[in-house]
Amino acid sequence: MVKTCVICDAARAVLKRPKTGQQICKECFYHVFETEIHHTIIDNHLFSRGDKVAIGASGGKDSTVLAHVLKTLNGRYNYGLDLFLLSVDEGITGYRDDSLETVKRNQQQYDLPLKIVSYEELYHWTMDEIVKEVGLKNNCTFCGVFRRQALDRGAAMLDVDHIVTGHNADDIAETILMNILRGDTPRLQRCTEIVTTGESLIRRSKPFKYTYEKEIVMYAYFKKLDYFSTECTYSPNAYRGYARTFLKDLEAIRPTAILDIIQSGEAFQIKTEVKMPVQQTCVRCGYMSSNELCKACVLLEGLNRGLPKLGIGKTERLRKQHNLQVSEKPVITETAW
Amino acid sequence: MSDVDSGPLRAPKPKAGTCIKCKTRPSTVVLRHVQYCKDCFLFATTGKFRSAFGKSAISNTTGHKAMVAFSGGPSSRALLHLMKGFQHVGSHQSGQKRLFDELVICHIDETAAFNGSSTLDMARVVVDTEYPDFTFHGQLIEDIYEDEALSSIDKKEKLRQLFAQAGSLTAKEDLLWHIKMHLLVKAAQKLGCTRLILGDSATRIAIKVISFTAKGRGYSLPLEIGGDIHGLYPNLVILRPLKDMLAKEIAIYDHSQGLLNSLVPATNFSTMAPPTASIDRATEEFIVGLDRDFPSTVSTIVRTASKLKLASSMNGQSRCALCHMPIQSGSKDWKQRITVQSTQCTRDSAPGTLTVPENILCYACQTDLSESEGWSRLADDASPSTQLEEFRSLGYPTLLTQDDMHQRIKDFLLDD
Ligand SMILES: [Zn+2]
Ligand SMILES: [Zn+2]
Ligand SMILES: [Zn+2]
Repeated sequence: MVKTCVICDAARAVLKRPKTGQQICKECFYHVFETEIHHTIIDNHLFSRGDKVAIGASGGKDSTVLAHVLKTLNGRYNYGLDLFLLSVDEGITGYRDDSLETVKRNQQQYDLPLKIVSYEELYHWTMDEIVKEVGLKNNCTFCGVFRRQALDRGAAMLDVDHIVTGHNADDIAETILMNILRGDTPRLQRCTEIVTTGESLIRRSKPFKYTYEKEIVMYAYFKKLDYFSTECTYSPNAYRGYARTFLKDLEAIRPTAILDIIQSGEAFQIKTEVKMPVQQTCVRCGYMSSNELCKACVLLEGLNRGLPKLGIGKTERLRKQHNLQVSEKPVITETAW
Repeated sequence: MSDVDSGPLRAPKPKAGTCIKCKTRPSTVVLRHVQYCKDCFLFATTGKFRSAFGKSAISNTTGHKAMVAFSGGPSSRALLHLMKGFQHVGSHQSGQKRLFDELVICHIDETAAFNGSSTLDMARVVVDTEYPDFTFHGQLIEDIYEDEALSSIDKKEKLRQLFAQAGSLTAKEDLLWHIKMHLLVKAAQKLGCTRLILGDSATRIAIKVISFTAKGRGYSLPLEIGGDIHGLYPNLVILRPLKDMLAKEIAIYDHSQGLLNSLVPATNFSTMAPPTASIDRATEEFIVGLDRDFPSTVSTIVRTASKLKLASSMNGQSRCALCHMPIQSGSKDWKQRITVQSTQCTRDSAPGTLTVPENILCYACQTDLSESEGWSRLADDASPSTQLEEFRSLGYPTLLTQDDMHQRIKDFLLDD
């Protein structure tokens, strides 16, 4: 028997919606998927008319769908946004070469200006070289810290006000669980914020905060969007893997669990006695930092001195051993700005 | 994600040696990488128990009649024994009196919900033979229905029907817990107890922190796991003196005190159920497994949760009809905006002006109830009093009174 869409009660249902379990048609799926993102954008006042917005584009499903949906909503609801694609080339042979090709095709398909910034240009180190130096244990730390800064620097070059990233509901829920598991209360408080602003004054936001990963994949599939589906060749941290598996189990038991975790995370309030790190600027590169030196500069210093453990774990002792001063000459070159 | 992906360090295997406390006897117990002999372990455990009543011990005990919840499982079995020691030691100390005036041990026989054989007599025997100074109070779960016109059989049937239509195993387990809590609170109030002592261990609390988070219960979480909770119920303080003890610690205590052969066997919905059966089961499996590989897991979670405070928006008035926790206003609207159900929904204004009446249930209970057969028939725009009526007619128990409801409706009308 042919099932009818429970929303429009007219068209044939072709999918079971991961978020609600409803059997619905393709058009209704597009409608609810896009409308929820639209609600997220306007309820949280993410944009103002005339904003220049860079979409952090990796060529993966999240950012490809984000570019498509933002372009669609910008037209449909007349947000008045100036959209750009901003990509980071980490310098990972194979993985990043192919995904950057995808981003370049997206640029054509969506007719948006594209800017690519590379680790090599900003830090004089590619991820391949970093992995050779530090191995596969802490490489994701380097990549995470460098990518965040690289996006900010690329945004500064494009002179945009705002960066949007493709972090989805699954990512947020997983991060909430991770922060409870490792007792990181300052991050637990911050990780549910939909907009963050650092010293760089560039707003960052997550329009997919309430969007399920499975629905992003579904949307890309039905819309036949062109994305690069291989995972990063340098595998993620094992401890996070536990949380990810557990989250998938929860979602299988109760599909709303992902939203429910975010609901909990947003409701958490941390006692004020818990010290929140004070934000200041890095004395070397001027990037926002909770210490005198920002994380990227510490990591870079380690790489450049052949002490890649610097910045990971107990840095103080290492720093003393090697008699390192904080206020040394900046390592990051002028071209970075 | 861009944050640092570091998990806790794995613990090294401890070697057999001498007790860290007395430094003479060989160690027989290893806890948190520290080795104890049996005597020193018992001393440390009772000391920890006593200090859990904290600085407020005197105001928490003297002049108060307390109820201890006794399911008969390992934790509450240890709790009973530790309470005896607590009362006993106190009575030998000269001068100030620092114990409860009277202890009532309450056992809830839940078997009517599962067709099991009664546990009431087993629990009574444990208390009467080993703790004759304590008062035993047995409570049948079907007595949640106080209607005099209903026979015992009728009540059991009503309860079975309630559970049959309650939805997923997750919703059933939550419902069972809420009913037990109602019974404990009602019994405590009826018997004049002003303290309710629960046997939640650190391990149980860590599991609750994660499973409650997963069920959208974050708003009320600090109230549901705290060691010393005032103001949740009239004239009743909830205490959790085992909150710093690991399940393993409690198991060793039970074993060393010979308590293991007087446990009351537990029956519940998820006995024998696979870990994928419910959120509670999956979380238990997850935490216990993680704690095996990373032994600081439980204490880290408990520490994280202890840093949570009550939301500034919380007021005493809006309580959930089912779990009695405060309702976070706007949570229903929040969910509707990000779970679009129709093609007509095109409201473009920011939230703040509510388009739907607030539910009589908290966010988490709404989720549970949305799975039940009866509830989903109820129109979304029904008034709170209609909702409460429907809620009761489905067989759900509630601690809300008609007065609470008037208060709520008044609030709803006054709120723009
Ligand atoms: Zn449809
Ligand atoms: Zn000893
Ligand atoms: Zn509730």
